[in-house]
Amino acid sequence: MIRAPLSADRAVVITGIGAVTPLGNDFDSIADALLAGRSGVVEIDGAGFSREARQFAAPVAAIPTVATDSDDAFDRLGQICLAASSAATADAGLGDLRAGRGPVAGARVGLVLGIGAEQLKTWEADFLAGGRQVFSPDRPTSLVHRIAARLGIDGPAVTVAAACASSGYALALARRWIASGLVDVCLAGGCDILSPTGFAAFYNLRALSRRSDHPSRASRPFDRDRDGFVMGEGGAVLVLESRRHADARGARVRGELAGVGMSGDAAHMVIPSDDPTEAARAIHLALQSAGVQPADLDYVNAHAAGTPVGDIAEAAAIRLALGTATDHVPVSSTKSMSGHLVSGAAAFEAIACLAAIDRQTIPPTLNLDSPDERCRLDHVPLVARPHPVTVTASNSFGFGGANLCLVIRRAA
Amino acid sequence: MPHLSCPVAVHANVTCHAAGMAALREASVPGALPLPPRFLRHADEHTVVGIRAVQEAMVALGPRQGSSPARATDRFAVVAAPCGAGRPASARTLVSLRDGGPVTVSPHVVPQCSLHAVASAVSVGLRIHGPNIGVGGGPEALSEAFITALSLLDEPGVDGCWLVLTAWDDEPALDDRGNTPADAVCRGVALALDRAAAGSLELSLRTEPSLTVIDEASPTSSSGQPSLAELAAFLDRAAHAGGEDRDHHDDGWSWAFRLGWGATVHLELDLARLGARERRRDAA
Repeated sequence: MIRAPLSADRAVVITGIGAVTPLGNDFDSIADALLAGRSGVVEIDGAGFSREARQFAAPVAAIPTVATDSDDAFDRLGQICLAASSAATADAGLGDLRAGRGPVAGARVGLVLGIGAEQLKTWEADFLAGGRQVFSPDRPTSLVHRIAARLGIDGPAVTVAAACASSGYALALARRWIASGLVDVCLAGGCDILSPTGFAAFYNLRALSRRSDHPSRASRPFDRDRDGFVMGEGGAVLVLESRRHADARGARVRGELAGVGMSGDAAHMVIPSDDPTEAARAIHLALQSAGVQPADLDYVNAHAAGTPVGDIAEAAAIRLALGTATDHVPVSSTKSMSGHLVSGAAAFEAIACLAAIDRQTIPPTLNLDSPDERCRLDHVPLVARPHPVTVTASNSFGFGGANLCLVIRRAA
Repeated sequence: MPHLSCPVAVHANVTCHAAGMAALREASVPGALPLPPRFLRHADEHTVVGIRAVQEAMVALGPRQGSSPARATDRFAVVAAPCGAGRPASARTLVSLRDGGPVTVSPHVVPQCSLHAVASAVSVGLRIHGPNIGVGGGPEALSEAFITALSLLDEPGVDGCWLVLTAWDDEPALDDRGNTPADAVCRGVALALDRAAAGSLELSLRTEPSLTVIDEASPTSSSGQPSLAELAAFLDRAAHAGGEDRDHHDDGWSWAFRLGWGATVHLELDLARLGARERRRDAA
């Protein structure tokens, strides 16, 4: 069953951005880095991460401190989530939600975080510090509820996970809550961290690039010489609300989350399906729910992480979904600069779409020296391309065949 | 205020002791869509009971509109809410990382121990093409699952939802190698939410204008969160509703709990609808 696009006053808009990423911690810094083609990938100390002494990744350089009067101490993942959430509320002008007054007093505010492996990372941090939480039957309160309590968010709070599409699913769920009237305002996004277990597992799976000779050239989506993705960390949290609610409080509107499409490959726990039908269906559903045609798209932010199989599968899905429009819709992968933020990737890439709309310029795919013939698209290689941008789509695909597409457009 | 609701077309409840988990991984469900060979070999305990519950529910659902049981729900979403899933495997992985270094970390830890593991395994193993999402992960998993599942029913391309809830009945302490006590019980509950179904059981989420205290009559555990075992007990009673029991509850049966933000989740058995269904069955 296909639902009609949301009416103008029920449209869900983005009014706040908070981010902690390898490319900066605010919208302008991130947009500047993306459009300048700046890489966040650097050499890191590989000890504890893999058998290699030297490794590379896209780490967060500095996590902004959130002022607090609480005793609740957050680990690195929690600090990043809290900092991004707090920055989003400030960017949206929501004021101090704990005070119960201000611009959204009386409104129901929700929080949805996409975090794929919170418990594993909590147990890991504790274990490596000498703790025994992982052996204990005690179950600590989830991060999303601790952050909600810290920020004074009094509505529903949920953690969702869909592997590398996790924060995109968080945005999709938040959009649905607003559209259905369940909440008036919702913070949504997701974050991830570099961790020894995650890094080693992906490395041993041979999913990571091994081009350690030149880290900033290792992430090369759609390139003939790609050999895997580069781990990144950080993420983003966006503030969503209905257009009517945003206008009523005079909020700055950064864009509209106009459409969502979701599907499952149901093919393999790790490997993307070589049949593009379901990934294309997610794109198709997103366009349909936004009420736009393939030819209306001005930019596609590809999931493309730089894995040999995944990039080919996505190119096929884009071609199937967009049909003859494919050759005229610019496509790029910002993971070439940010690395793969895993749970936080989709929310970060929503910011890349907003940057393209704001700057009327499409961010490039760095290191795309020789496009793979099997990934035939209208690539934006190496340097940003000035281009009129009104409607964008952002793909996210995860383990377990989790497919997601978001349509983000300039707010009317 | 919004009121989200959906009939529960069918449900199933599976329990397994840790000692019986190896056998359950290999066991087939008569009449159910078979899993790919050795599909559960690396799966977490929550995944094993969760996918088994969905298989049993699919068998109970039976064919619909001329399609096979499996195909009847192939455009359903899968929302799986494991509470504390992956802990034994995570413990073994961390011990291995400490003792043997990164080279010993299994690649399976990512797809099999993350919050998404149960949902993705149900989707892949049973060929379900709707979105598959892990929810919760902590002690609040049950309440997070209900709101997520009910919300997703309005998304384009989603025909219904398999809601899969898993937990240890009593969260076990693990030994130093990450092993689980043999008598620990892992539980999986699967509910098929289908707006097109004429089920006698209905799941709903009702929001209220202001925050309210927890209802004394609501079945909650000591933490304030309902337990999966309590929910399973209600579903079991609902499945066997009829006869003399019904005479004592002629206004219907319900299981409910209040969420901290001013909403209430209800599972209600509509006995009038149940009676009509039974009459149709008897007539047939």
